[in-house]
Amino acid sequence: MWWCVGVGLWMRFPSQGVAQPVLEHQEVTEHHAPWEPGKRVVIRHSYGAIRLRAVEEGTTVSVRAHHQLAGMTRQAIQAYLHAFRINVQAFDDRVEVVTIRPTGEHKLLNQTTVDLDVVVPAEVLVDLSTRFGDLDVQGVGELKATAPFGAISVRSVAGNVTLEGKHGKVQIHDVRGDVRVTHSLGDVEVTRVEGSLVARNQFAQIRAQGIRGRAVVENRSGPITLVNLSGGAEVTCQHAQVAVSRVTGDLQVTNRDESVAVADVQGTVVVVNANGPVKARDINGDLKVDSRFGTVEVSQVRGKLTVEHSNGELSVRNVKGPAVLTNSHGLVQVDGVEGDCRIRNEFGAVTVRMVLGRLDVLNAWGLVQADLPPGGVRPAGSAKPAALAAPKNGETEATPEDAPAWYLETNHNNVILGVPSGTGCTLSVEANSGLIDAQFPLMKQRVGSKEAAHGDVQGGGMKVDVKVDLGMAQIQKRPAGSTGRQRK
Amino acid sequence: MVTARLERVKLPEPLMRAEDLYASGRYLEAAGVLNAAIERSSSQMPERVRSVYVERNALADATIAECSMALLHDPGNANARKFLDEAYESKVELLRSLAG
Repeated sequence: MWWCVGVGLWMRFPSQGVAQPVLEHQEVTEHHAPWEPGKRVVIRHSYGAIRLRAVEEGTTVSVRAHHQLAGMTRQAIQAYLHAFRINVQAFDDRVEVVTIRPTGEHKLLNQTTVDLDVVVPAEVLVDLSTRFGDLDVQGVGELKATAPFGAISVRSVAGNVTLEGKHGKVQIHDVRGDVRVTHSLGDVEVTRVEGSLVARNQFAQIRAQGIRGRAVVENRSGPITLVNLSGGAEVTCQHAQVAVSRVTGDLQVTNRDESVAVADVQGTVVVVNANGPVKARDINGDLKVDSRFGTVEVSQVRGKLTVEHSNGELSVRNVKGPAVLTNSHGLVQVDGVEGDCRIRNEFGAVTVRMVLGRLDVLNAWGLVQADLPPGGVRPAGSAKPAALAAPKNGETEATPEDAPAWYLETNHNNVILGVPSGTGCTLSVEANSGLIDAQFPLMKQRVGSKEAAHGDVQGGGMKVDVKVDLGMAQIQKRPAGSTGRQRK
Repeated sequence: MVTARLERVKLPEPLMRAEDLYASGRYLEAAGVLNAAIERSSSQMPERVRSVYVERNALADATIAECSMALLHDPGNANARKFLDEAYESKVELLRSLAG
């Protein structure tokens, strides 16, 4: 049923650049249908906005249609209005709201937009679509909506929300169920969701905050910013920045050409990036980073740290667990690892400070500089730690008993070992084609171009092996209490 | 708005032609002129980068087609007009970024 309650308002305006004046007509019509519990509401609209509100204990579906027409003649407008239909009908399983536009082109009309104000009972499931109009929904039971050419705003939904958009900004707030949103060219903003979130976009940003369930977020060329995720997250991007912080649960981030920043995570973190910097801090779990180009900066990791890097600087600070670090063409800087630490590099320097566990460094063409921590490393365990378990190519793995606590090797550069005053170690140094320069008395032996030295330094202690193929091995004194860190 | 764009800067030839077509409501033809220029400008790009431009441009084309059709039915529809303009602008921006 439908009837017109509004009084038509006619106005005459001069049209822009056209001699003929334009008539504008506004009219409001109202339409109703009874609703019973269990029925969903289906709304199909095409040209105009939909504003949807829910009322407690409602028993009807009510529609107020705001017709905005403009045209050259009153007859053209009236003919259009006469042919335009808004059907609000109750069926067995649903109440339908369908707008039916007169067919064909209406060349004498400049505007035929109809905006709908719809009121439904609070607990109802609504399935709606409009093509060229905004969508504003508040308070329904569950929502499934498509609005490709309009902004979408959804608030306070008791159940799930599924949105499909394309253009325009999407804002979703306060949803008790799950949220799924697929978009392309407008920003997506989601806050306070009790369930899970699946959000996909292509060329605009995604921002989400306060997601209690798992978040799966995917973007192509728009940035992703996620904060306060209680159920972990899986984040995939290609050509834009990703920033994720305050996460409980496991987190996986994949990017290709832009930066990744991860902070405050209570769980395992895996970051895969190809061509952008990676920053990770305050990870209360294991962290694994797989990166190719760009800097990698890691600090405050409580679990195991694994970094597979290849072309860029790698900086690691304050790791509670073990660390396995691989780089190829870039500096490796380590400052503070409480567990065992294994480092592989090829063409960049490796500097190590405050590694309290066992240390195993192999560099091909770069400097290795490592300072023993004051007091030496913690006692070695009975078995070789997992971080050091992988033997070097072509070598047999040393037994736990004769394995050095620290092993430093470079092939075509120098090794500099710093020993703080009061810290003892048992040194074994080997330079195949080079020199050994020690600031401590050591037993030296030279055979041809090969020089070797060994001895207890400052009373002996942990076993430290240094090996240089072509270069210099330098054993240097450090002041007492020195952490090797530069003072500001 | 289109007039303002024309007055702002002296535009390269394909952009001038596209602007003229767009201003006269020949949206698809304007898009076609820009497509030819984008195709020429992006032909030397690495495929990985080019694919992003191609995809973004294709989305803009689809939008222009849908919105221009919508404006035939509802010429005063604000959303159809807005997203048509945005899509066209995004193509112009793509071309400008390709031209460096």
